[in-house]
Amino acid sequence: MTATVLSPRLSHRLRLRRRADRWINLLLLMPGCGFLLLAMMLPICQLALASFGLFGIGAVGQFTIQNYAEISQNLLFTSAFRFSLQIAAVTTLISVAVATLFTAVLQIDFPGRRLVGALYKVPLVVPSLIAAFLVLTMIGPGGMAARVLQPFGVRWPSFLHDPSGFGIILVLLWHNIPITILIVSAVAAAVPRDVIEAARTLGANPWRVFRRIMVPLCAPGIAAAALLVFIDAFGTYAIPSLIGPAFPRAISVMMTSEFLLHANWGTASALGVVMIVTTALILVLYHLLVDRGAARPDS
Amino acid sequence: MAWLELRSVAKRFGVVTAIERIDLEVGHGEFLTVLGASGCGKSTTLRIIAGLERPDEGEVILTGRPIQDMPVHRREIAMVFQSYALFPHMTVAQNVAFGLETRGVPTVEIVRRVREALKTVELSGLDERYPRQLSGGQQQRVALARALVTEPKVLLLDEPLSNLDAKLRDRLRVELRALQQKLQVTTIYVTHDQSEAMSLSDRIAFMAGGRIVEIGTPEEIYRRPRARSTAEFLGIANMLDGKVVAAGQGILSIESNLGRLDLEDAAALSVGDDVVVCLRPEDIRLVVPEAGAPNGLPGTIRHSAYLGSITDYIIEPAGSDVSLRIHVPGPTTWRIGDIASIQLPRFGAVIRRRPIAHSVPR
Amino acid sequence: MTAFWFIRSRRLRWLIGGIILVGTVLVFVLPMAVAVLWSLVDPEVGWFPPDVVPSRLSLANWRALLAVPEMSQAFAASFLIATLVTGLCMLLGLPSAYAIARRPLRHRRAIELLVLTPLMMPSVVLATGLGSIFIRLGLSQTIVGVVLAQTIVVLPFMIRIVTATLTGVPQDLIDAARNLGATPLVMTRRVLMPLIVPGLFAGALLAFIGSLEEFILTFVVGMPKIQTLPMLLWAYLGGRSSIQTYAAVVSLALLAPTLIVLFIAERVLKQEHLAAGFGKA
Repeated sequence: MTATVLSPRLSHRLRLRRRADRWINLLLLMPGCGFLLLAMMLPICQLALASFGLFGIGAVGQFTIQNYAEISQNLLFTSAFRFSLQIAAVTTLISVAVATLFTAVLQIDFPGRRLVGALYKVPLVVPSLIAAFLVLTMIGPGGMAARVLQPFGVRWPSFLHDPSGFGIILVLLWHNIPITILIVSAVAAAVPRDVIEAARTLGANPWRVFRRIMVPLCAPGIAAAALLVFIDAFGTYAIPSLIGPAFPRAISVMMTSEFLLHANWGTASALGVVMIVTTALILVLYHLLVDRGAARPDS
Repeated sequence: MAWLELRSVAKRFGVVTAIERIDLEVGHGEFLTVLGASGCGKSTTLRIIAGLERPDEGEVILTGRPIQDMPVHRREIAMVFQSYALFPHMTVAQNVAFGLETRGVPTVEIVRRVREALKTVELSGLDERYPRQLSGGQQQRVALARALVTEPKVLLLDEPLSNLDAKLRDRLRVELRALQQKLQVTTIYVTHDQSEAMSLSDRIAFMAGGRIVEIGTPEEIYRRPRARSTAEFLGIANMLDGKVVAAGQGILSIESNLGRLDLEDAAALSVGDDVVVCLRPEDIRLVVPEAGAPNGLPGTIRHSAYLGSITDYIIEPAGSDVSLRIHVPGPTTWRIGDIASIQLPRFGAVIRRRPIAHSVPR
Repeated sequence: MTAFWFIRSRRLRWLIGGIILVGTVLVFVLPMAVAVLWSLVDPEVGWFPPDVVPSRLSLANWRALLAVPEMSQAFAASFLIATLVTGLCMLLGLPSAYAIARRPLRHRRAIELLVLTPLMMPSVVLATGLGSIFIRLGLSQTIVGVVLAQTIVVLPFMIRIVTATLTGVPQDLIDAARNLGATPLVMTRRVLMPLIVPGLFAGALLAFIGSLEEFILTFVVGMPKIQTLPMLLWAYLGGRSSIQTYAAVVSLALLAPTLIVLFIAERVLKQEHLAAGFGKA
């Protein structure tokens, strides 16, 4: 807004106009954004309060850090936290690696490329619960893999309930790799063709083009995809509850069993707060790495 | 032996033939422009030389070695793109250094050469800036420095100035030409702007429909085009159909629908040949009507526009439906509706007329 | 870049292509086929190892979908809740989307971040917090409670898609309409609305499907009185018992509307709006 000298009556009307605008904005945003704000603030506050024993079902009514002491000392909880982080990290790394490889391969003009390009998107419409079922039917005990190999005398190892979380990771990969491929492909396609060609004419062989042009320019997008996968894998419930090991359990499973089975809302809330804080830290880390790393080339 | 040669190069995209039987020879240190309208195949030709496209037929020969099967990064050819194609995540200095790094030049020397290159294009001090912080003209210079620092065997430029405004384009044109002359880099320039082509080049190759219509110095193809399409593309052309009625001693007499033209032309044409004559607007004179002027013809002014250095007239000769476009230096002296006497020149390009649209060079 | 320039050999391309194609089919397509087979297993014969293909097929399991009370109830509950959630999302989402897309906002980035936050938080945590609150509010195990809970994670998609649609309407069209004499109301009704209907449609579809598939929030808030199809699926997969055939049927029943709807959607809509809804814009 340029600062011009307006007549007093005009500037007064402008001020009223702006105030009216702001009220209209507020009115418009209230239903949707207001709902979201409320619907997220309340549970978070509830969890925070209950975790300190202040408020909630079965709370003692005064400030205590007993719940946090409990979860940090009990092996069940600490191992659950480590387990979930582990699963999330492994899933994220493999997803990104596979997605990058897949994207690179999709650049090659091979027969059937378009079909593959459509088929890999199948899991995008499959919710994680159904993904668990599908992967189960293939590699579970008595699954297709086991049946196909039986006549050859090969015993199919059990992937479910494996303490390394192998089965969980497989389902998470099946579910998450396609969206990662989608994002990585989009990011790779966004690199201008002539930038790549310029690099080639300047003597860059394909590996150098990949290393010095594609990777730096795609890194922010890939980081965003990695973030999504990590958070999804860290907080996933349905999959580990069905095919996860008895020990260690995923942190989400521990949390729900605390209040569903043991009515320990305090402990559950503390776990919930830990999960929120972890997620928030990851987001901050992402923000620092991506938004501050090598000057952003705004395309 | 030519420095760069294209022999019978052809390229198709599906059922569309982009270029067909291109033969081209470029000498060392020459500045050749490939000129043509959009879609004529000039960019495809350039990309084939760069290696970004592979020809379906023919050979590309650089300093005597065929390179059409050589991958892009091994050819010592540098290219400047229309969009500059600077690496957005690298500084100016890093951009310019890139081509040297790929060639394994030691760091100390890279620093020195980058600094020199930036000085040559007058961008010293901007080393640490990022492309998005530069103006269009500056970005173009970085692209140029980046290409030239590698001391390429051939420099390719694909309409590098078309994204800039007119004044800047003009200035960079002059600088580019001076630089090329100084460095003696063999340069191939692609553009659709004929004044750009004329001001920059040692020779111009005019392309249309995927073929090279003709090649020559700017003066040759402007004053003496050998194809109709060339004449019409380069500047304004008054094209008159006619027939040769007399030939000999360096003078061709042509009977056209504006009457008889006697032109100084040593072309090997015979009586009875169908021709089209190209008269340039700056060659035709307008005089106050007077009887008895040779090649004089009365006509009515239909349009006049003052363009600063010249006035552009369109005049309709009496008894003819062909209009002539004439440029007269200085301010407007004739008004619409005035009768002026047209003095047709004794010089015009005589082109043998063929039934097909594009003539093959003789 | 449609061709990798350094892999020239034709035979190598065919080899790579073959491997990738087979791999993709095995990993992504085959499981669906197996699921279909499971749904068609004859309950009296079963499908046990080492059979690679069920010996007898029958539609009994599909009939059970409508016959077995808990299945048909879950079916009805799912679709009822999905409809309610879609309606609520439209009501809440449209004004916000309009504000974000077309009005000058002071804290635009913060608002956009707010809309994305439900997707950035693990739903199980949200479920835990909500569960406790809803129990005390008496909303636990009610349709209303489930609808409210689901709306939290579905609304962002609706807002993002409709925002993208509204942003995509060229200002020129609106200016032209007003220039031709249309009042804001007329302009909205006759120019703006028709242009955004595809986006609204997309948003509604995504909301509907999102609701159908939502598991964890529904589980925590609704159990045990309210049961939706995903909850049933969880039960059949070992949450309560392990009935592979029923699990297959419920899975396919859940997938079918999604596939149909997305198929239609892709035909009807512009791709950009869907991509925006998935959080890439």
